[in-house]
Amino acid sequence: MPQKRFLPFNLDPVLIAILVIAAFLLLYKLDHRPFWQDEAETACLARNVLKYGIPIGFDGINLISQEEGREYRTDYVWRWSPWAQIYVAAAAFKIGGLSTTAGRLPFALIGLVSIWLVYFLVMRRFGDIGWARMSALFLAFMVPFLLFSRQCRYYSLGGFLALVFIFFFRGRWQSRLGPAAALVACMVLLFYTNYLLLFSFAASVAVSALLLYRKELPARRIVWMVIAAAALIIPGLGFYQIGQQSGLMDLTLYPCQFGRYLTDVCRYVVPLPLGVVLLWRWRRLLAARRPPDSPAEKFTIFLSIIIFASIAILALVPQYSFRYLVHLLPFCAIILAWITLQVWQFSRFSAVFLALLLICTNWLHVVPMDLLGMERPPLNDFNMLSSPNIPLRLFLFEINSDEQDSDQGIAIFLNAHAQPGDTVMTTYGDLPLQFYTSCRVLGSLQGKVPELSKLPDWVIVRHLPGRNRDERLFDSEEYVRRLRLDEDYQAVALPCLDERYGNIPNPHAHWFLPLTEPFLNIIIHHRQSETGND
Amino acid sequence: MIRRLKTDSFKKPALVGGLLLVFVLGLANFPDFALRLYPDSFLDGQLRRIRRNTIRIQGRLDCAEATLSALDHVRENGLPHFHEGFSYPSETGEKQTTRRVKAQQTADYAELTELDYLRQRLGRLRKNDE
Repeated sequence: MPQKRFLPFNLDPVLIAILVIAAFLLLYKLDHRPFWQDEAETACLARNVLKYGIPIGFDGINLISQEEGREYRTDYVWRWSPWAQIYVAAAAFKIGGLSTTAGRLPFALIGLVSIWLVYFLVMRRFGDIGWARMSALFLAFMVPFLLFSRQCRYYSLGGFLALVFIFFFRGRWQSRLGPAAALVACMVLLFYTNYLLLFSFAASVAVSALLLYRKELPARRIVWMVIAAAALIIPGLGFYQIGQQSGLMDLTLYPCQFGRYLTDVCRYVVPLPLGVVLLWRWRRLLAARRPPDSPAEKFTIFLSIIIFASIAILALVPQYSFRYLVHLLPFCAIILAWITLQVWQFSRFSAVFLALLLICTNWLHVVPMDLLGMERPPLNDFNMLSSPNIPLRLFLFEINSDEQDSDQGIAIFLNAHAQPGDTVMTTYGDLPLQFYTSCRVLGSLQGKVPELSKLPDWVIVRHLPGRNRDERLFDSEEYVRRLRLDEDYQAVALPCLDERYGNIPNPHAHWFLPLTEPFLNIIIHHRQSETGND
Repeated sequence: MIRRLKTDSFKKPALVGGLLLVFVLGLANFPDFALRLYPDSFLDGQLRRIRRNTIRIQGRLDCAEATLSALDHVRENGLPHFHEGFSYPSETGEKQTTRRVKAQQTADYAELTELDYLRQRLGRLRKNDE
């Protein structure tokens, strides 16, 4: 399978076929489900960028906040997360209008370019067309990657920048200015995409490079590059209140978070048996710190150490989320492709079988963990990636499904029945409603509920209660519990599932549509009388 | 050389066998397949998983409720007297703890309801099969 002959990357018919399929998977029906809470945060801020020029968290009616107002000071300028993704979405809205498709399109296109870049990286640096093709194929059919890339969020952008960084890192940056400048630019852009990605990625690349490419690291040039990057990053450190956010860390959670990240990588990306085989193969090399002779294998170890070290660093982050690993998914595809090619040299039948298992099913991910007694997530259903499935089938069924998800059902109902300017109080999912309706939307994670002259016109109590960083119920949860919903409101059940997160891409939480009944329906309460505030 | 050949001749069937085993087990646990071939035992397995989770959450819920009743007791009767150096929790601290435990309790109830719906969904699959 691996060939040494170099074909120009843009003429490789296999790559073109992969890219055509990937384009369909990434771009088809981008609006099949509406923005969920986090995407809607980016979208609402991007909408405000078009209005005010910068991301403002309050437009005079609605407040964009998921951290009880910690995201900004009195000027309401967004300081919680970097602005790159917001401006990308704003540019897309400017060109394509305020729509779900427009918001997601640039990020999905970046995902598509990343698939090409994975191919290009392997091809240009190692000249192995089999490895390059397999890497692109694995990434194109990796359902968690597809889910994250079809989001109006920074995820695909982070992956793309990480890939570009590694591409130039394996180039001649030691002697040439252009590649060195590209590395600095990648670091800076990664910071302004999501600084957690930069901190975890830069540190893990440093560790991995010191272990494997020590002789290729010119100290003086690195110092200059770090100074250049720091000069551009330091202003952002203060602006984004990073010191304030680091105070939210809880080191007692570290072992649990670390274990969870590792488990989830094994459950959804690199199957546990393959991880064990790699560790066994590399045990002597790692113990003796003697890199292998093969540049391809050395590079695979380099990527594996980056992934492992990133997890070790990310486990420090206050809230666990699979999203912080998404920029590493292209590396996982390269590693999976390399393993398959090693198996190919040993047994062709086994390699084809392994590739089919990895691309078409998640059985190698789920079954061994089940056998080892590692519990699946509590709310595990057949429609999730945590159950043995054919992930691409779930994905294709979902994008072709007409079933409404929770955010879509509520938005359609309110657009049909609420008057513009009506007040909606919800315990979760305020930001999609701010984007898709013309109501004043309160509650959710916005923090203290403002004084209202009258009771909210509409109240939505989501089934799963939300808790803030202090482990207390959101203020909106406590507020709605004080309302007399039975007396002052009329309840309407919507024909859609009351799932907590809507189109969340995190594989342990994503319920693929359509879902079979019975399920908990969304209940909307409509105010019946002109009652004063309680 | 001979040793390597011997190892390889063992490794290849082991690799193929391992992959086949995963394929068979995966297929056997693949819902569409299992629900057609052996729905009862498959659904029983799923129900057992739900029951395990239910027990775990129920345990957490019991713990939250016990903590709340202990806090109620302290509120009504005051704290037991310890030695002078013992630092008693402040009223604010006690209120915060109560709020946290109540939040935990509410979340646990919601998760139990969710698991109940999962159970009902499995029950419906069994009914359809009958």
